[in-house]
Amino acid sequence: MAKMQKIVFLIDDDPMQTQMLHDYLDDKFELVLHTYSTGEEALENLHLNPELIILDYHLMSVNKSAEDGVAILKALKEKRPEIQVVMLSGQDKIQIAVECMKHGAYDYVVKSESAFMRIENIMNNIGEHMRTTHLLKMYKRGLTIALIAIGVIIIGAVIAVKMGIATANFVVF
Amino acid sequence: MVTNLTFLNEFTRGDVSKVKKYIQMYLDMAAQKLQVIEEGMQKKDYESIKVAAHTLKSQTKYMGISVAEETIIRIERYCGEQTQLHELPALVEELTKIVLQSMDELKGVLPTL
Repeated sequence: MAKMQKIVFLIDDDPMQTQMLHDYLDDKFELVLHTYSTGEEALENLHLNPELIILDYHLMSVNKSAEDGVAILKALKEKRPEIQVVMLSGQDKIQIAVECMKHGAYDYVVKSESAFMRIENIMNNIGEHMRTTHLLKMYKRGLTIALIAIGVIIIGAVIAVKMGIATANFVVF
Repeated sequence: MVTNLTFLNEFTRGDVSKVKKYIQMYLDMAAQKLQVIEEGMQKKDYESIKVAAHTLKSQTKYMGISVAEETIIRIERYCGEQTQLHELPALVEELTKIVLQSMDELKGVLPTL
């Protein structure tokens, strides 16, 4: 069976930035990358089930009526809170980064020469985080099943003991 | 020289076709953004100037045009805050000069790649 490839959305109104990030991630990971110049387009395509979205903060250079990155982040988190969103921005203002994190962004990356490597590291961390979360869920499920099994055994034993006592009493009388 | 292709060469690991592709994209985008800034100055549309300068900020970084960084940051800030607008014409002139020079340099580099 073919391995399912992870789907990643890149949302940026700067074609050069998008192309460079697309090429970089395509070299580093086995992904299916979808690019959008506005957040609205990406929101219409959430049925494609992206695991990760890299979202630019400024999205108005091509379409002036396009919503900014924070508005899109809020909408994304309302619709699909499980999708990890990494904000990408030319702004290195701390207030903007804090605002993005407050609304559920996984991380905030300032556009620069080192941004590509940072995104690569973040994606590795997210992958690790998701693997750990998955393992934890599996352990929890296993633990629940084990507890149910122990419970059933104990109840069975109690019933068996009671029945044994009842049988013994019956024999005595 | 205002351009420095060290980052681009490292980023592409020497893949000439990618270097050419990004340079061509920069040449197309930079010309468009300069036009937007020029029109914005005529119409006093500071929001458009800010947005165009913002896009140029990362693109010039990738082309190694470090000399443009401070000018772009000031244009973006003054347009965003609507302050020190009297300084804008000189800053825009400076940026235009740098970007046009970078375009000339990169146009010259392209056939040699």
